Amino acid sequence: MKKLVLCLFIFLFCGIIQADAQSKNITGKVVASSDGLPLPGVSVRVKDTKKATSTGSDGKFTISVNPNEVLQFSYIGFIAKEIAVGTQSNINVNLESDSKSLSEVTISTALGIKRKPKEIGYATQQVTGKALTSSRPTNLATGLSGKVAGLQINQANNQIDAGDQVRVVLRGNRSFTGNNQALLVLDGIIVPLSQLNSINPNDIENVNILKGANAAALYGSDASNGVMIVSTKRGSSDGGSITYTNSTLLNRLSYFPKLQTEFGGGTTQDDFGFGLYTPFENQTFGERFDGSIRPLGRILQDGTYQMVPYSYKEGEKENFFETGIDEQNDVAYSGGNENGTTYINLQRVNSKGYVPGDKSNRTAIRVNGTRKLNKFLADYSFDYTQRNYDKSTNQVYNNVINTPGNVPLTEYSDITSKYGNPNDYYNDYYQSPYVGLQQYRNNERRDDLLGNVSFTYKPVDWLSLMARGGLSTKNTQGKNRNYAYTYSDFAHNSGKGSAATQYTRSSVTDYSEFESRYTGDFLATATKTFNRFKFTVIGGAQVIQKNYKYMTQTGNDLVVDNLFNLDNRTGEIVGSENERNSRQLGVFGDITATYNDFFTIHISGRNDWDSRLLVTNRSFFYPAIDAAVTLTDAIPALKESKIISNLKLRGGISKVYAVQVDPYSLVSTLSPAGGFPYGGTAGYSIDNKLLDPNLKPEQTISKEIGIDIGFLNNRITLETSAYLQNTKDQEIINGIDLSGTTGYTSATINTGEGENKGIEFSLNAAPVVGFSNGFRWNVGINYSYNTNKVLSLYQGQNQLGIGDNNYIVVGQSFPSLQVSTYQTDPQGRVIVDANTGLPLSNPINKDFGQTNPSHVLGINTSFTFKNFTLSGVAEYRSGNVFYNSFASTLDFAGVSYTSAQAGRERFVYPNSVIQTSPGVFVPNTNTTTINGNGSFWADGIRNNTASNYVMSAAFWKIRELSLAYQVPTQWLQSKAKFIKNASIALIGRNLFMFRPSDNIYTDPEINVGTGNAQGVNNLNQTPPTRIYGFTATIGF
Amino acid sequence: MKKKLIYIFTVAAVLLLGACKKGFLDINDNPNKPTNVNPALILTGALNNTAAYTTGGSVFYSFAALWMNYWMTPGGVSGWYEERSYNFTTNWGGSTTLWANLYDNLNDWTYLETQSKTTGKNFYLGIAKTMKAWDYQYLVDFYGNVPYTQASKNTSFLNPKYDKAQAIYEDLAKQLDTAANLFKTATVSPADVTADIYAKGNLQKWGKFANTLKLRILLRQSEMPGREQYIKDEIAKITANGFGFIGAGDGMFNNPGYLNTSGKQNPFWAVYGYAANGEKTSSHTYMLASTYGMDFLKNNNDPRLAKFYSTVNDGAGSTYVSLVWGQDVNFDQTLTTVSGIGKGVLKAFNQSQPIFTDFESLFLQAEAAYRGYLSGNAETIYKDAVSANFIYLGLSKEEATTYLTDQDVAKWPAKDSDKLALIIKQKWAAMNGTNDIEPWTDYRRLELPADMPISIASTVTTKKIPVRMLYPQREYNTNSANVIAEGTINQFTSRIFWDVK
Repeated sequence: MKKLVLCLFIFLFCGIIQADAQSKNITGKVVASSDGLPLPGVSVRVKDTKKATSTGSDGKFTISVNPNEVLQFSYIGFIAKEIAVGTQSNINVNLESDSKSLSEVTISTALGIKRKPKEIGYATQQVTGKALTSSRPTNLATGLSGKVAGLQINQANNQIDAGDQVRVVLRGNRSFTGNNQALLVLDGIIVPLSQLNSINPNDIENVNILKGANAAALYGSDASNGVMIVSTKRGSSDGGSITYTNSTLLNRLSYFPKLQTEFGGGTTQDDFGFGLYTPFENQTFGERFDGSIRPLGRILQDGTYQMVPYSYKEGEKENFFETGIDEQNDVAYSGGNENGTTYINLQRVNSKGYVPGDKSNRTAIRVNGTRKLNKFLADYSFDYTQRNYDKSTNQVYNNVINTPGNVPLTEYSDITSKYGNPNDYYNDYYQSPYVGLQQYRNNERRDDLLGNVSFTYKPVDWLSLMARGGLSTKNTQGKNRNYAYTYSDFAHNSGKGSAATQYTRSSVTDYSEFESRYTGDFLATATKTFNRFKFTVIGGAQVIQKNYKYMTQTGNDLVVDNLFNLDNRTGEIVGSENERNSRQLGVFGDITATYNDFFTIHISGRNDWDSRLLVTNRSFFYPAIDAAVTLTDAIPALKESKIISNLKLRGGISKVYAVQVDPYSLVSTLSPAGGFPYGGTAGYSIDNKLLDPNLKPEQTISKEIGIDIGFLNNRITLETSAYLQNTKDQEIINGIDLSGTTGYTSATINTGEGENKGIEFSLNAAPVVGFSNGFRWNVGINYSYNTNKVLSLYQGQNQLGIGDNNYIVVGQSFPSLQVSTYQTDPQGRVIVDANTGLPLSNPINKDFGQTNPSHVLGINTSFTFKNFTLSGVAEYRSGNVFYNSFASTLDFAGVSYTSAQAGRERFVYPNSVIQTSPGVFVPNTNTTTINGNGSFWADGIRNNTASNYVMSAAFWKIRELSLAYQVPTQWLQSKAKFIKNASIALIGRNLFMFRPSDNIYTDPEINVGTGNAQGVNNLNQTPPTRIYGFTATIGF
Repeated sequence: MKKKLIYIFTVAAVLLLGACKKGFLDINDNPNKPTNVNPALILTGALNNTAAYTTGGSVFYSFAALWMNYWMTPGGVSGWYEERSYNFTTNWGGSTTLWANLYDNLNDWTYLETQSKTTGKNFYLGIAKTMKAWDYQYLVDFYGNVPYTQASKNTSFLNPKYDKAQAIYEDLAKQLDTAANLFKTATVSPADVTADIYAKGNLQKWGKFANTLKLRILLRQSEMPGREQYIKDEIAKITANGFGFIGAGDGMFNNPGYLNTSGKQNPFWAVYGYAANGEKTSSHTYMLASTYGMDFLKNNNDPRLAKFYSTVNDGAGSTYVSLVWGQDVNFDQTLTTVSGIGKGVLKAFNQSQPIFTDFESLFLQAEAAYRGYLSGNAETIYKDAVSANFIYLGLSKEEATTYLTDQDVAKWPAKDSDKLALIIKQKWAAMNGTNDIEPWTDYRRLELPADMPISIASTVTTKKIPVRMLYPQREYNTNSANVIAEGTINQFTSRIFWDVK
């Protein structure tokens, strides 16, 4: 690999030297004629040669030419210009803006069909590769946050390289239990959303977001949730270039929960209810810190104790976590000519996690290309990524955060040290987190191969035929190792809880996962113009096959310690296997008719056949229609307007069917009954899930309208949309809850209807004009409001649990959070027991509202001055609640800030009442809780009442900030000619977060998972991080 | 070139269309799980599940063993709050697990019943009816009125109504008669012998099991006024079928061939004993000897002491130490310093799981004889029952005889009114660790043993052993109209129909 890169460099240098031999240098500046502002990024090329450059941020350029040559200047949105060089050595160019500029831009829509914005009757938004990578995200999902109205991305977890743990939703939830996440299309081929993490952000040309079902009828069932179309770079057809990029990012744990700093370890209390210090206790209900030197842990074998100050050790838990590092190196080659292009990118990412000992790496190669042969065009892209992980499977966050504040935790990092070794570690009940990290390890290798090849043939100029094949495969091989450990006789016999099992034997789990998706497309496109009418007719067919297989085997109690091989086990291998295969066929037609370039009507229809449904239900047809009119072209008075440069109205309606269930979801099954087989004896039991053989696809009808307005030569653009989506015959994947007395606990059936509606605004502007010094300010504001409602569920049932305290409740937004709470009087005050002063728990769960934000506001902005660009993205979300289930553990352990608020003494429960007779509630002024210490905070009444930990999930986040410096082109020309461009940027992600003051816990975005159930966290997610670092790019 | 390309496109189009041909989409047969199996496999699975869900299941001990003062648990880090305080909710595992497990098991039994009715397989039909009665008897004993006539009928009744507990009991008695009569005529194939992991196709054993189960159901109603004639009539039907009851050595046990692998050990052993690698399970560590339970053995020179309990430090020590039920315990006082569960009930990973022991049957018969329901001599049967318990625990008949002769707490009393108290107290002593629900049920029915201590935990607010379980929260969510119609349920006051004392 190194050799190849070297060859490319040598090749390149030779080219440059050759070019230099016969030419002179020309410098100049390109400005916009309208405002005189310099134009950066203008393509400057020497006509009929491969020589080219582009203007810098100051609009200046330098290029070497012969006097008899001609320079071409071109820039999107401006009319191209040609200037003969002659004797000039300094050329200043004014470019006229092209009033028709918008029509030059094309948007990749369904199946890679490029369409002009004018012709599109539904909402789309484009994010360019540059906007995406300005802050160097290591995966695509994080780079898109806040940049698209209606797109909501949640990073659920921050484990090392946890790019898979991302939830991507466009326009909120439609399906109660089915998939609501957007479809991912890479270079025209549908790939699993999990591949989002495989796509190198640097390879991306642009991402087009088709927000509604309407836009996507042509992709079939999967597209009812909107589509993200990712196009990767093709080589430029003007010569060759090599770009090297390094980015080094550090990440550091942030947003640690607020903890109490007053009390130390202990669980018992004296006769007066005051906590007693227990040196080996992990609960923190002991005495108040007094600074004295006290023993920590049990007596050691040598008769001594570890002695530490009995006071809070500031920052100790935070310091347990290290600074994570992601170092990414990319080398990209881009080149080609009229007949073909090639783009190659090699990437290597080395990551060190902020959890001590976690590391991973990623190596990727992408080869994209095009090749033209007469009327024949081949286009291909292949991407191979290999990842290796080495991480702990032990969730140490729980352990770390529960450590009493006086414990010098980081002193135990050496697990062979006097106090850090498992025998003598202070804690009686838990292993040291450092031991946890080293005893439970996972190694995983994941290989992804994405590829597609398309052949397009144009027998006549109005007809194009395309055949395309695509594949995406993911292959994962992993091994979990649990190491053996033997405690000393002394520790074992001391009564130390964690040493109760003296000899823990090692165990091993091997697993493998294979997932693939093959797609074949055939597409015929005809375009004809008759007078003022232009028609585009597309007919096509598609076949998709998906395969999945997972296998796992565990060997327990290995004979030879820490020899992690299944053959080395005792007992039986414990294993399981799961396979899923499905196929889909689709045929579709699509007609676009445009009148006089300003009115377009677009009709599409598709019929699918899906193997997952019974033969009588497997065929389904769905149509879509949309229209767009550009009034600025249609109405002469508007055409002349100096203020309004573009005014487009659009609207559409579509119907989409989706099969949400996995294969084999029609016939109920049986499983081996618990424990079977016992040797040769088999036994089966009927599974608890009832399945419906007549399951139908889920149906969504989606309507949307929108207005796009451009002001002042499109310097300010506003795109607005409003949509209404109704999804009925919902496929309840995990099943409607049934009473167990029916013989089953759930039934997967079609039932229920949900409505989902919202509005979106996307405003982009360049508000500052007229500064001749090159100062520019661009700002984009994306706002969306989404609300949904359960219209009906199932026969008399008014709610359905979908896990993690999330519920689908008739008449309410979905999903909503329901948790246990206290009994309250009609005024909402907590009722306490007249004798004990303790709040009374309410057996009925309370509804706290939706777990998805209704308001999402993203602001991105950039300031350019001379060669500096400062850009940032901020995002605001609100309207939802979340449940910090981990805070219950904090209270239980006595580390929570709240648990020390009453000084660990009995207290009058705030805003409480006592019921004196039925329905009569008297404010409680003097009945204190019967307990004030651990027996209140850890004994159920507080920590088992989840409503104590529910709060608004609103936040403002500064998602990214970057300051980039572009090395001036002239300077490079004079000092380092072989370098075409160079830049460096300082970047930060998730630097600041602002949240309601009662949220003393964490970032609401961190979540138990990426499914529909949201707004709940626990201690199994690694906490949020701040990321900062730099990136440097050199182009040759 | 052109021709070639047109050819390629034609091939591509044909391939796509070819995909449409019949069969291409017919790939939805489940490669992971069967959708249909031989009923013999369901029989085996359901028998084993019954053992794992009832007498072998952790929940049959997790609260009853504590409330009956066999074991106690230190509580410590707010553990066992419900068990120690008797305060529990509709979400408590005791309420939810029993219900879920029993109805899950009943689905298999109902399927087998329906299946074998159609195919005329009377052996399976008899077993299905017997085992349904077994499950339903527990459901009634835990919850009172429960869905019965409309239960386990999947889509036919998505919201099954609740039937009256007494009506269910009466129907169970009838079903058991039918079952016993089926066992008289059923044929057993060699394959059935393998599938029947309780009795290896022994129809006599099944007949006795059905009869004894019916006796237990009838005896439950002993305290109900005006019920005597019904009980006697029903017992006459049992006598008529000729199988008799489970006698000494006839106990019903489950053993599918337990293995010393995680998940395949005897279920009681797996929870309260030792992991496959020989390490103590956490439940073994947490369950300590209760003073009331241990003192009864200690103070009366009972050789069963060493069988029901270990010496301190899990048998490594030499003393027997217990703790008072409900006391708050320092963490130092774990299994290291207190006695735990003994080797008489924790025998081996592959010990057969008692379903219906001979000593339980004999105690039932002794009570029935004492009440005049059966003709035998109550004293003799009582002594046989105690002896059978000694033998189950690995002691000798001679040791039992010595105990019965020498100890006042075991001697057959002269006063008639003391006899029932003796039978029930000795039944309580014998059942330790083989079925802890039955003594709780006897306690509810008879208030015996009368001196059963209440937990002294500070969290106790009602000083009373609960008389029932609450309906599970899931029922309120999924079958709400029917469960709400049962009214407000209180674990201290809403008694089961037979609990009239």
